[in-house]
Amino acid sequence: MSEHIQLIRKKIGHLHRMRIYLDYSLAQTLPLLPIVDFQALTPEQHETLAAFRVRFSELQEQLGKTMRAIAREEEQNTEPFSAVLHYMTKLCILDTVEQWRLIRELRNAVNHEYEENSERLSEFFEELTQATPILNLWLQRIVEFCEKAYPNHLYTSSRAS
Amino acid sequence: MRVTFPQIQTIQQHVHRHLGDDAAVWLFGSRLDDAQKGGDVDLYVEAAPHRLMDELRCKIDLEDALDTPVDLIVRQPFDASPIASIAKNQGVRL
Repeated sequence: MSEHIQLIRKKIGHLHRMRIYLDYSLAQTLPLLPIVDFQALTPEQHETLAAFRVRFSELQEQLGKTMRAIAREEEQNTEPFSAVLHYMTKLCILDTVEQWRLIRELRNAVNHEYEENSERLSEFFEELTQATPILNLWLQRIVEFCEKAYPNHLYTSSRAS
Repeated sequence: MRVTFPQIQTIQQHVHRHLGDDAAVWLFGSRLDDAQKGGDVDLYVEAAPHRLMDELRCKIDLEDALDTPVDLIVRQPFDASPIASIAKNQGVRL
């Protein structure tokens, strides 16, 4: 196994673990929605929402790094990152580049100004919950691609721990 | 002001398409300073209530069309937040 494929396999193992943590946070977050009064949430509930947001962001970030590693292994351009995203649509890992960018903007959107707008925050978290299966789908497609392109390297979640 | 007339037209087109024909746009921040170079395009928009995803699509389309990072802040009319005051008082209505 080349060092680079070993690195991709390691990243996928990390992604499987992150997915488990995100799925847990999603299950904790769903009962809190819709958020009627953000200020009325308990500290524990705020922590649940914060963990969900961070884990969502981290999973997309790690997916991006893994996509870049695959593009590099396939001797494709990796700069700018949009070249990687376009290559991922060719591999049918992403449906569209716009969907990736939209989800990236979504995860950044909560950072400013919305603390006093419960309606907007609720909408934000509802969109994040709807986008979570899309991240999981991208991971599944990455694993499927790697199993075909670099066989015999065991990319299943059981090897992740 | 370091935004060209065609860029202003582009901004208005995308903002109206995503956030409604009644949306009002102000340019504020570093792009008002002719002495500076580059930098994000800071836009403050007043618009009727709309979905969060429309706002995000608007930002992405603006960045594609202007080929530069855009900081897009959208609020409803008569918003009294500090950023609304800064953007409208120090900015330029497009």
